[in-house]
Amino acid sequence: MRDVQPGSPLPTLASGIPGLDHVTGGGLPQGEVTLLAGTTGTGKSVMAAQFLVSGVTDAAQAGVFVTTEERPEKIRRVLGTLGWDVRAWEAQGRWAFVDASAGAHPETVLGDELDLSPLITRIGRAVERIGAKRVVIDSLSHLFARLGDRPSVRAELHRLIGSLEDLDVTAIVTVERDHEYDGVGRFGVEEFVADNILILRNVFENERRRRTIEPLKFRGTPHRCGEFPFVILADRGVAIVALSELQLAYSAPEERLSFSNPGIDAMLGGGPLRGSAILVSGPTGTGKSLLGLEFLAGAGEGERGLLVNFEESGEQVARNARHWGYDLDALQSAGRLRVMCQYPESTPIANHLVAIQHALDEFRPTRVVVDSLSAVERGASPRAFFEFLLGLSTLLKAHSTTGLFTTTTQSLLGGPSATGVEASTLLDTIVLLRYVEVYGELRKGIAVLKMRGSNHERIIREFIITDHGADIGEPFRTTTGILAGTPLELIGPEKERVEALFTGSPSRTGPDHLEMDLTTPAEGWRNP
Amino acid sequence: MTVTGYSFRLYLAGGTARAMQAEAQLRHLCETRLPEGFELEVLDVTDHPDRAEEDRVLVTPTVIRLSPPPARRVLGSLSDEHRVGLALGLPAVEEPPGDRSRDHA
Repeated sequence: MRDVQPGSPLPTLASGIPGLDHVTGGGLPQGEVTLLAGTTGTGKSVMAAQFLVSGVTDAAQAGVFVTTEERPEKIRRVLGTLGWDVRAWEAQGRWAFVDASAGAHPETVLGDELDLSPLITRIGRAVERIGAKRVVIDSLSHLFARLGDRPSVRAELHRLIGSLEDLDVTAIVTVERDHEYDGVGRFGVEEFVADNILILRNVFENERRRRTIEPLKFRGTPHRCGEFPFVILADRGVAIVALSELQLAYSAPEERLSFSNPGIDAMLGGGPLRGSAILVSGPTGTGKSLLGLEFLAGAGEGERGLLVNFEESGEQVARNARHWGYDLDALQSAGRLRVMCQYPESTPIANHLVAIQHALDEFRPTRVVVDSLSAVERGASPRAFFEFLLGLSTLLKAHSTTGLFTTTTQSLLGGPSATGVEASTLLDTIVLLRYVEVYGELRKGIAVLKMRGSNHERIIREFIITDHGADIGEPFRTTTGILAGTPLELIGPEKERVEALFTGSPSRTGPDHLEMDLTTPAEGWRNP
Repeated sequence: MTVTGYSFRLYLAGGTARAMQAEAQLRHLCETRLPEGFELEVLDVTDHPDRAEEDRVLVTPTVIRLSPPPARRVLGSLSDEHRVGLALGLPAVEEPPGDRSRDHA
């Protein structure tokens, strides 16, 4: 163990794995060994390899990969599929394998006193030969299994780990586990590397796989606690989705944006605030996607929009948009818009968040529309969905990007709650769309349920979809119960009293959920 | 190549007493079981690091049976002659000439 001056922070090495350094409290402890534990298929080998790869590509640090199970040739092939040309690095003296794997031939281990010096020496020579600063052993458990649980083996493995620290390298050692939530490693191997432990899990929940990483302990550094979702991407390896990675102390801009429809802006007190998250909630067919388009279309000079569509194909989206007079193809060609169409069921939900993150980093849109959240919610556990929403809203806020998300309510006439209670706290503005049955006609209503940081209209207006987009019409002054899903028309003196309910007396409505009880008709009312 | 065709490579760690003992044990075993002769190459891992790398040696002593095929290895202690003999697939002790039915290879 290294000597540390009291009071000074331990030096860390940037791991190069996106999101990992945030979770560990700032990289991996430099000059020390970090244990990476996980059951089969959790991604330990990829992550460990990626640590070395990043050393070569990002930090000009050579790395030694000690493989105990797979042959180097197989590893070269697997890493090649992730886009990493290991063979080239070997030729350049930036990567070296130490092949500690068993051959195909029968092997017998005898006696109680094993001496691992040859392996320790081989690793030392490789490190010295290429001047490596990073070392990976994948996996320690396999070595332990091969040598057997003898008295000397634990001591020798301990010596092996100790030798890494003497080599002044930062190392990752992988360890097998048998259970996702029980103990650290098989054989209790964790006693060897007690100081820094990361646990990888691949848990099956809600018929979906969910990969998480947990920093169990990191000596001397304040690490985050709990499990963090991560993804393994085909072209880049592991990326940890650190939900609050970005500073939460972002300023709340005062600036307002516009929809292409001034009527909507008027309902929003002049327009949505930049950096806010807007939810548009309503039954199918009420025009949520159209509102999303009108939001994108309201983009000004120098603005860019990103449409993330989970419901339809790119062609369908473009066709619907053309129907309302929007030429998405032209906007995309001009670099003003990017359209991403994803199947929500195709990959774990965390992958979608990472894909959006990449689009934000590369394309830098000022406005993002996600259509719809319901499609994402369908394919995820409640926890995974909340993480997605949290990650998404955090990402957008950190980029001061204004977001509009659509969600489908289940009943055709809507109902009291726009969205789950938890999720609604992440949303600054909630716009409701509802069907209104008036004299045998099916019309639509739009209302702003809440808007943080601004005044907004408390009037339910008619929402008309034309062939040139949306029209915001007159208020439904004589109808009540629209948002509760049971529209009633008022006659007589009751009308004024009920109007007051809509124009927002504070005692009746809260900012985060709808509490109006309009389901019981009183005397003097009749159905329209 | 001898008539029997047995050939081995032994990796040791330095000129320690343990290393010398391991070599002696192996030689004795082979001389007993292979009276027609055998080949034994003894390498010190510190003197021949490239050879140790090539043969993927982890532990000393390591004995590799090179021929006849299939290759076999023994890692660790060579003091239990019976078990080492089995592991290396050597002919049994006191085998009557011509009778191969008790061959433990």
